[in-house]
Amino acid sequence: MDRPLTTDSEALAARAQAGCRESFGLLVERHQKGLYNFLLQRVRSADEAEDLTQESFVRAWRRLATYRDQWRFSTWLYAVARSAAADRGRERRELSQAAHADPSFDPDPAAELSAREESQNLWGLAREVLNEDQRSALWLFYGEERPAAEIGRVLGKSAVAVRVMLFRARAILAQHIERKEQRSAASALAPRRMETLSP
Amino acid sequence: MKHDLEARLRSEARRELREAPAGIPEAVRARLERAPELSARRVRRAPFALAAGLAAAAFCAYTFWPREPATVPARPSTPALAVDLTRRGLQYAARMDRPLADEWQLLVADSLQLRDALLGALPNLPR
Repeated sequence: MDRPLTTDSEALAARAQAGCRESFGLLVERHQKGLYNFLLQRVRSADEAEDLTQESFVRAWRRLATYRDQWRFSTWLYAVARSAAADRGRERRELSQAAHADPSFDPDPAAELSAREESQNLWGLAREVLNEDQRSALWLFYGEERPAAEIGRVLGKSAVAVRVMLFRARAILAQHIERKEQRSAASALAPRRMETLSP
Repeated sequence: MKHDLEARLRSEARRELREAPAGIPEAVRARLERAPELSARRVRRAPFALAAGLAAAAFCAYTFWPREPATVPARPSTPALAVDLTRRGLQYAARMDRPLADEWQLLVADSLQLRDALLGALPNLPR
């Protein structure tokens, strides 16, 4: 087959559907960064996001026949990735239930520390306090500037449901930011109080 | 507040954006090569295979589906017919104003003739 010309993803996807692996290779190169960042918002570690990125591309190749070009290729790809991440999450939950049942289970302190450091920035806080779908919706909306309808397509929800989800996610974030600010204000006042009380 | 938060989400998203780790395309290619050939083209034939399969299934179901046996008007078997004719003959003979023995003889002879015609001669019976 001829070498595919650089063109839009949907045309490349059509060529890949006809069996052109080179076109699919171009799609992988083109979308790996976006997909990796999307998955970073859904999973806890960079290693897992990388592995899931690969897994999602493999799944996408296998399911390429189901892609229809009325949606952007990346939208369909993210939906495939979401399903891969959900499967992985299910497996992880089962494993962690088994691990918690084990009395010798001890959570990794390094991971806990990095999670605490992460919560210093807004997206780190989002990873801490929002669920997977809310994080994904937030990322796709603010990080990738996708319309609600496309986000709904990725998450399997309606555009209205996505808007509601975004509203709730923002409200939860605002609530946590406010609480954090109150806590830091209180901790800033505490030494001064101690100074005034001391003789 | 909402606009502040939205602006922060946007600006921090730009900072949050990371480069994909190197080697993903190669890893994907290797995984696809390890996996059995699942070309998109082969999968696209599925709708035709599905239609053909459905048509074959419909044909088999139509051909081999168990049906009620066709209702055939019940016809008495030959011996039953002979017995019935004998019974009718006896009834007829009973109504006749003639000695029963003659009629009986005639009747038995008729019945035997009838039976011989239908089933073949009875070897051990007197003629």
